[in-house]
Amino acid sequence: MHSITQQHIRERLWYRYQRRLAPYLFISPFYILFVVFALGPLIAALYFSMIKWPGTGPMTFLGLANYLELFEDEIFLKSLGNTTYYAIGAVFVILPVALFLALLINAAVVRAKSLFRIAFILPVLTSTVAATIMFLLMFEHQYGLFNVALEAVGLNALKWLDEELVKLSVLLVAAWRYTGLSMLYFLAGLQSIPTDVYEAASVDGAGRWTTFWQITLPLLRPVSLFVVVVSIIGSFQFFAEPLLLAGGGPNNASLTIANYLYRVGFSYLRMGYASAVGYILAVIIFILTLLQLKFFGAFGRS
Amino acid sequence: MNTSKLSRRDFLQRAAFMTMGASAATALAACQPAATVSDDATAGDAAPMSEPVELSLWTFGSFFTDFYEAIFPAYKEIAPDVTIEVQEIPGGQLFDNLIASFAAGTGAPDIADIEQGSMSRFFKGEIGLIDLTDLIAPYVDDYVMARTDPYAYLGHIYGIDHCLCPVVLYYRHDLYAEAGIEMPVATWQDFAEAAQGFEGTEAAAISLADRSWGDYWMLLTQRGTGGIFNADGEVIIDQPEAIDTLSFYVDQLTSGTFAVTPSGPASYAALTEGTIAGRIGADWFGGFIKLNVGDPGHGLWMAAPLPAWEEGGARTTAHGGTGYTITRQSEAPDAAWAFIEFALFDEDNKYIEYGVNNLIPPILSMLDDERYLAPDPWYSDQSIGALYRDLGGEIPRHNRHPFFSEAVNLLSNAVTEAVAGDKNPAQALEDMAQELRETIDKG
Repeated sequence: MHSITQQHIRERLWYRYQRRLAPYLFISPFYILFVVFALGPLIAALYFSMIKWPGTGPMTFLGLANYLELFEDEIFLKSLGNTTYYAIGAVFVILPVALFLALLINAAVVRAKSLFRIAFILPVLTSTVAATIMFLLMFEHQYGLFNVALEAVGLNALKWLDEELVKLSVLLVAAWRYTGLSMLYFLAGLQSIPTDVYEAASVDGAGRWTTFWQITLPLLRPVSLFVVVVSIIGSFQFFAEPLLLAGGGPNNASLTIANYLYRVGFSYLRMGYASAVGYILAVIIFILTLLQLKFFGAFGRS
Repeated sequence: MNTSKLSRRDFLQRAAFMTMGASAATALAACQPAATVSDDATAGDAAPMSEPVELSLWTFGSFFTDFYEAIFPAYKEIAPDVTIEVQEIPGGQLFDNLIASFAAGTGAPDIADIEQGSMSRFFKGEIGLIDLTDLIAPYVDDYVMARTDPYAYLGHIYGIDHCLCPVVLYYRHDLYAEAGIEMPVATWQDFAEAAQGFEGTEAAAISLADRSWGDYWMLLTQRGTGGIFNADGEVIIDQPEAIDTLSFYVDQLTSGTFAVTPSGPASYAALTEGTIAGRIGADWFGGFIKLNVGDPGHGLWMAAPLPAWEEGGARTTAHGGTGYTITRQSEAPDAAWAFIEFALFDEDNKYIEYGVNNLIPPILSMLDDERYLAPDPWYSDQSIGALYRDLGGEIPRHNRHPFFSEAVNLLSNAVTEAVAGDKNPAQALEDMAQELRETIDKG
């Protein structure tokens, strides 16, 4: 009798609490994964950024010494400058071109829209390694396609992968790969603008230019914000193309922060210093994202 | 131990004994530190078979995997209790995974193939690899010990290379004859003068890289001064021989006597066209030339010793390579070493490896084997193997250091700056040496 009562109580308790627990259980996988794979490493990396550790053996606590060293590290500062160059190129060159292409494809006069969409998205689907090696061949000074073309029209061959031009070459590869993706985002944004807004503007006598500035651009703001944020984050995480095209060189001229992080972490085995580079990178991306959100009015009521 | 001519039968017998010993050692692993190779691992003490041994082996190229798979059946015959699982992990990912395993204290394989350029980073912190110095000792008379240099630090050897990797000068004999160059040429100065025979033509005698360290490294190590570091681990890249070598390098490139190597696959286009009539490189590079130039070059190419830096100096150096290593996490290091001995020191197995990946053995006695000495029709019926054999013993020693990765990145920059004229060679190397010393001091 006694045991039946206890079991009965347990069942009642379980019945009472399971409805409360169930939602938490259902959402718990995300939080468990978040703690294990995001929050945990984030906290661990913060600790690692304050130590000296070559991957094995004892760790030495350095406090903020790694961070202080970073601001005097010429290669880090150079990689920061290079990465900023790529980010500026992405926002002020690649994105306007992507928007222009999206407007072009969205125009009523253009036929075979699907064909153009596929053509521009294909580079994103191509293997980074294969595409970059193709560009490596095309940038070659003596035999590359670009110089053959330049010489064919009477211009001098360029040293595309020398210190002076290598960043531009990397940016060209990035433009080829990522313009199509940004174009697709813009195209989706353009197609979501209601046509009656354009009709109303047309009735009011607005020309194409006015329509673009007064209607298209403002209504594209949410998409633009997304594309700019993604582009800047992508630029600051830019890794494969500069590494494959020029190994971050020559003389670190194309090195990005992500390349440098990998180099100090896995080539030099300065795990603590690499963590500090990672944290600075995260802080830069965080600040830039906040500024963009502010610039695009994401914090306002509109 | 005399290992100069080890018959296959003797070898298999000995390897069987060692493997049995290894199995016994594994059974006793609970009483012994995991990361030691027992003293009698090479003594051939027979021991009764015990538990099966499972070895894991990480490698990074299909050419190595193919080789291992080719010799496994023979190894299974002499060591039936040993199972080896090969995991092929591409490129640098293998070395990153190895670092992660060492950091985690678990997950490393028993045997790892480590590309020589990636080796020095493992000298930092607690070295996760077993010191093979004593195990290699019986072979020092026959194995070209310069091929352990990329895997050694302060007298301790942590790896042993698959290949000899001797550097020679591959050249178009028809174009050299037209330019009036008679090979071999005694010294680099003589060669630079002779190379002017190409003046007024579209070709250059050889090409060198203008933005990387590899070609300069070959010329520097050929001098036998130790490279970037001396045997005590001190930076010596600003010493006169290094500066002299870089001055020569820059002079030949800026005067146009030597050409700049086109980047990527275009370099082979230049070799095929004949605008570059020669390249310096190791045995594996000779294979690349043959493969990439192909039929148009058949019978037009030959190989010769490098010109020396001074009369009587070394006429070769080594470049590249991959070493066998055993990790300290291995629970059966004796069995791991027994397999390495089987793969590396058995002449038939080495010939199988040569057939699969064209790597010349770093064991001099094997190079008298007719199979390596056969004339190569592509190389104008020259016995390239005889050239490698004759030069193998001349490979100079050099030194590595835990900061070798940092050093070669700085060296690439120094070569780039010197060739571009941003700094003179002395200044470029002195600045590099200063920066490297500061980096090492910071730790």
